[in-house]
Amino acid sequence: MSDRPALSVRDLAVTFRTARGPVSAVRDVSFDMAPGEVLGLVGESGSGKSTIGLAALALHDPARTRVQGAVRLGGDGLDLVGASESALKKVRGARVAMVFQDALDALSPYHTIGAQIAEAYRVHHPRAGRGEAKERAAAMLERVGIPAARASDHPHHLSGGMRQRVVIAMALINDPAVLIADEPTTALDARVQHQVLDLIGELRSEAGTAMLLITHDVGVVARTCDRMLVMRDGEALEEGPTERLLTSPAHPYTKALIGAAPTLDTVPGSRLPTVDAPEPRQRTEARLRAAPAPGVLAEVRDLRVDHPGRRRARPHPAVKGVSLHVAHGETLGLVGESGSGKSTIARALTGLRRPTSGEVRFDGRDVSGAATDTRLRRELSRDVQLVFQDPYASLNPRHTVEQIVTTPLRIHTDLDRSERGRRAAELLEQVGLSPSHLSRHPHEFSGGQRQRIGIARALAVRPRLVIADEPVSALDVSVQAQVLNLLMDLREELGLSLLFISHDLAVVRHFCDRIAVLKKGELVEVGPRDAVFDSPAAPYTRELLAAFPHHLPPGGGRPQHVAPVG
Amino acid sequence: MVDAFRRDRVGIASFCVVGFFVVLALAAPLITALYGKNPTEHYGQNGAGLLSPEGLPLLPNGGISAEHWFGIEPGLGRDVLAQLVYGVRTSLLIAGTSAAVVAVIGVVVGVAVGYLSGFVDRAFTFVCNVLLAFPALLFLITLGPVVQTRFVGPGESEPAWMQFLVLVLVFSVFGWVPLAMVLRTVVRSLREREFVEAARALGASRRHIVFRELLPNVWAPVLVHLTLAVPAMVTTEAALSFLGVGVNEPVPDWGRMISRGADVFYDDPTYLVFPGVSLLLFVLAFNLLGDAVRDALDPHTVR
Repeated sequence: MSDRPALSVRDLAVTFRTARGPVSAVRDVSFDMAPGEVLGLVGESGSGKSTIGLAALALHDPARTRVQGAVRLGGDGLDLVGASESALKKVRGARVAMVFQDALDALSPYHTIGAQIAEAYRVHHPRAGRGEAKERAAAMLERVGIPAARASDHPHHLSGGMRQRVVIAMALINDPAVLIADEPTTALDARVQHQVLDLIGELRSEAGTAMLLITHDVGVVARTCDRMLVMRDGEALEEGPTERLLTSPAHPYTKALIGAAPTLDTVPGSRLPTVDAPEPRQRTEARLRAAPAPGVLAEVRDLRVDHPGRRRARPHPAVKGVSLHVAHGETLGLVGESGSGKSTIARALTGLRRPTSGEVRFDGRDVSGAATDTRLRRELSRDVQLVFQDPYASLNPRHTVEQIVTTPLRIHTDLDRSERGRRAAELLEQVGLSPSHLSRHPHEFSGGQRQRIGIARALAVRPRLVIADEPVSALDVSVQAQVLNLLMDLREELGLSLLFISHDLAVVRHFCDRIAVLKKGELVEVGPRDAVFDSPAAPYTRELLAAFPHHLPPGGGRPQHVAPVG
Repeated sequence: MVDAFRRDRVGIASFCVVGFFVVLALAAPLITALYGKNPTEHYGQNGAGLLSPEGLPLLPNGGISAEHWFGIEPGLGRDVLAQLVYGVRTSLLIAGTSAAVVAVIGVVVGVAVGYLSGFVDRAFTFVCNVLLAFPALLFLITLGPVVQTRFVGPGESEPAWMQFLVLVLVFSVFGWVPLAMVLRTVVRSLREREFVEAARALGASRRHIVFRELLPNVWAPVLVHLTLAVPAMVTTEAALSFLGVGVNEPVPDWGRMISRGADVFYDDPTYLVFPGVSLLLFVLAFNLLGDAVRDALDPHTVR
């Protein structure tokens, strides 16, 4: 390693020009990256972390952005801020490369992956022939773990993880000195995420590339980064070796960010620290269901749901014979990777999807036909309510909060306008919003507040079962902690029964009494929380647990994957 | 949205011009009463010293005087200003009524078809294709005379309401198709959005979803469509009257004034200028207003 940093950022400030005047996205950020080092840039949405990544490639639109400070590359010390476009062209992709979050967007759908990687090589090696570029591309594919024979495939033939490997191959084919990875694994399932992170780590240590890893996930940083830099509102709060920051953070925000996401070691059911309350009163006893459930509230028996095939293709089974139940007052966690049929089961239980076969029962009554029978669905929705994943999409943008929260009351009760308004105000207070927000529209709220509105709407008619479909996965970690705390409080206060769907094992462990694990539409394992996490019976559950990133290494060393006990 | 519109100076100016024309149309009887003329009286023929024996205004610039501010019509000698003011009424009445009918049919059909899909959607697409393939202009030109020969006796003249009705009918029959097609697409993408599913999960009926969830989200494209459709109808109506198949005498009409102005253009060019400029101003202002409304409703527009 030379003394010279591979990338050195000094007093970087980025300002966007908008119709409402300049908005400062990044202020006075400085850091250095040594060759071969991995620096984690951690922060929540809006903290300016992606803006720094773009500035390091000088990708900002000069007409709308003002970049000040210096971004120097190692070697000749070229300053990318203010460099000419022709100089930048030689740098981008050759000396500094970028990996984006969404691999499907980053790849051209019309070209084969081999051709796209070869193209990336030929851009910077104009004298290289087609044959040479093709050979290089094939070799690079092998290096990222894709057989060279698949070079003639198009991106849509590949899985999400493989696409991200292709993007990494494209970024690394010119042996860049610096690699910028903007949320490279956020869109991937935990197991695949694990594989891709390991791959990045291997390639980096082979080639000595310095890497800037931009992420919101402290777990990913803990696993891969040597040093980390915590960003908030465009400012760098704290920088240092990963281990030190994880074990003894100096800034309260860092503390909250690290503690906000539950891990597989936190006490289940305890209140999570948030930015406003970094050290809540801790519970040392795990939550245990107050009374053993006397009876079954909702259940599916041998449920099968097929998605209709496109263009006369055969129907594709989403759920293949699952039997599950939720008891009175209990929280059942439904875990699985994307495509495992979690959401489809939730929709069958709420009467939004008709089961192809099997039975859906609520409180002893067969409600399988609710998807086609409006009256039955209406009766069912009196007792079963859904909280959606995406608080942006699930609220009507043209309605006020009052209209949104009172819609279920209009449908199910004969309260008059003022009574509905009173109940709406009461609900908003219950979910931690002010009744003065009633006349506002959803776009005036942040993601966490919108999710609270969604929860208030679900609680309006005092349902007996609430189905929460990934209610926190679209939220930032500290907001996620607030919403989880809220859900735990409401569960205690109202004695709710819940079906909680998530891909995040730690959240499920923290929140749920019983866990059901799904894989490709089939039930792999179901059992009480501690049994599933401490002694998983199915190999698939063990695999999931092994892939899950852990923050705090028990021995202070490099984070290890805790081997599942049992 | 109102704020965005307020910042748009062109939008404000065009809104004022359109508003001015609307006030003219509404207050036409009041204005002509104050002005002391009416649009049908033949001042040139009844009074001396206004028209030459050939029927041309004697005074320069089409007979502009303190008495007749915009001059008098060659031939019959009616007052140009009074005719213009009543002409706005004709244009706006036809265009406004047609736009209202188009809006109602377009919204109901478009939203319903977008939400229902399936067989209804295929039937709708077929009907739309037939209507779009129809030679609408020929239909417009021929329908007026056909109605006249069928329903009006040889001796009588066609009542004004029947002429208006025919025009409104034709504009509506062809006008709702593009609006309904736009709304069908809008609703098809809206109903895949999660908030519609959320409403279904709350137990909402179809009616609730269409009227309370979907409709508030489609009024923006409807507004834009209508502000652009009204000037198109005004020009088409003027064009039909120019061709002699629109609104007949004695109802004042800009298109017919332009047609008459073209006949006497060499002897009395002034008579063509007033209705021509009025029509240009009105259509331009309405189109600019449509642009401004579209920009104000679309947060992505960057100027």
